[in-house]
Amino acid sequence: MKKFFIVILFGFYLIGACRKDPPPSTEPKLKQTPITLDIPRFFPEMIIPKDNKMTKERLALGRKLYYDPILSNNGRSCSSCHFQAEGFTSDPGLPTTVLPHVNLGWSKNFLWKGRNDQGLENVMLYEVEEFFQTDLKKINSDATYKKDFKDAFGVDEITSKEIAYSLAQFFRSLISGNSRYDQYLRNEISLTQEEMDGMEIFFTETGDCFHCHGSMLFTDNDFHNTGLDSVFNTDKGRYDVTGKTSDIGLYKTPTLRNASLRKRFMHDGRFTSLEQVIEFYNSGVHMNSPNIDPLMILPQKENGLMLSQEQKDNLLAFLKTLTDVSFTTNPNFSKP
Amino acid sequence: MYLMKKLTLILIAIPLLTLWGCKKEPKKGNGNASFKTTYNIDGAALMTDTFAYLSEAGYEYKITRVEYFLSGFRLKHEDGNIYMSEKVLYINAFKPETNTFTFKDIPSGKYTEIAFYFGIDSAHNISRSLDANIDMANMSWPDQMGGGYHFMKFEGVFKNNDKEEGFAMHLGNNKNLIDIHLNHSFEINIDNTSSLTLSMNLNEWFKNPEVYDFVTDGSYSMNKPPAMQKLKKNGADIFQVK
Repeated sequence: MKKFFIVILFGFYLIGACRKDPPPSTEPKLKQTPITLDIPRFFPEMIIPKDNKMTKERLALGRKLYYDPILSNNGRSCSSCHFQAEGFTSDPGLPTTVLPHVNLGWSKNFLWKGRNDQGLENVMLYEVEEFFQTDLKKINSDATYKKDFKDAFGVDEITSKEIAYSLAQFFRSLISGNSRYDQYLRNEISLTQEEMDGMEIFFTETGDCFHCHGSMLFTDNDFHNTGLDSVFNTDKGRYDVTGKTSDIGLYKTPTLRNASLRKRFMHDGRFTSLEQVIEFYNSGVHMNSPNIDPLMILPQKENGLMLSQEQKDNLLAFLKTLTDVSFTTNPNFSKP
Repeated sequence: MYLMKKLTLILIAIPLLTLWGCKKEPKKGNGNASFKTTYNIDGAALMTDTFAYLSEAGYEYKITRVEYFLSGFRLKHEDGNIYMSEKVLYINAFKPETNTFTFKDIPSGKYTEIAFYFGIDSAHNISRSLDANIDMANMSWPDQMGGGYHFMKFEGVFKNNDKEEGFAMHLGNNKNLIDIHLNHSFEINIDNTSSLTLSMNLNEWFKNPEVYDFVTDGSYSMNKPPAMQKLKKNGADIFQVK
């Protein structure tokens, strides 16, 4: 009988000893509510760091901060330049185009010149510390924020890191993946003949848009010189970050999702409509631009795309299918 | 006294057995193979920004992009058995972190051949099926042109009578999958990792057995079956193993 108990106890001991325990967490124990983002079908795996897994508390805090001018010292917030109705961009009349806050949870390179490639948390840290130069004393003297941050991060003193982390959570939630094009891919709707013809132009050599604006994100997250200018004097594109001559004239590919809602195009906002953008690629590319992308100077395209008016109209019709109304009207993204 | 001895024995044996039981060991008799991919252009180092290379057809060129997939790795044991892997590997020549990969739990012994597909085998070459990360997603081959993924994006600029023109050697579609076989003797030793290097000579894409001419064959191969077929033929011996 004793032997029997020893064997049983030994068995339990071994089972217990071999159980894989998770490594001890370095984060303070908090009552957090984990959430899972609704990732649209066919989208790649989102990049979410282990130390900032999505929680209801952090997301809500990030959303609140996004709309709160407490972030800055001049009465402005993220939402001052990023309007939901315009796909989280706007035309504030600056000499640069405001990149849209959409699907950045998948982004590897941030801002037009790729100033930051260390992840969303890191670029948010830049926004807090350098762009807004957030006054931490001000936010620490706000009793409501003190409680919110305590609930979300377990901290008594709010630092730039927690602000950046909560903003990163809200940015990750800004997912646009329910446009008419997405619905078409899911076999939920049909596109018009005009839109289908435009899609054919977009995804074949006729327009050759897909090499830079491909995948479900409609951006390759990479940098290209598409021949906007022949020379680059003061603004030299990605070169300003890397110092490599091969990067002169290269800028990040912006996503085309919700592009029809924008009022400014290209990094310097030189175009004010998608029609102008299409015409540029059709007949306005500077083929002698330094470091121009090889795909822009293929022999068959030395005079541009040379699309007919009907083809340009069809391409425009397809680009408009990338507009996601459920994104621009989603109440979860609006000012809380 | 007898009970004390027995208890002492048990107390010593339990921790020892526990440690032995929990230790993660590879399967007995197995080892690993670690691969590294390197690049050269007829022996010259891979660089961007410079027209340092000359194609067999006589064009000076520079390289801006080299991205590709390898899949279907098969390692042939001298006894005839073949170790197979289902891995699909995305490789960017300019991103070092994508140029090393390891196969684990390979039966030990002498091996005589390394075989793999340049591209993605048909079982995996299905649109939007590999989108585990952005890099793979960016390699998609539009449904309008047959779907699946680019097997390769090899891009650059060449001089055509002093005029600079782009080239884009893009390979895709199941019929252009390249089955590469490399005779090479190597050993997999128990509990060890054998290191192997696959060295790609990028200039081989433009010669042997066919001379690829950017002007007459096309500087843009995508969806051009004759151009892709030529690349497929030339691609069979682009790799050397060390």
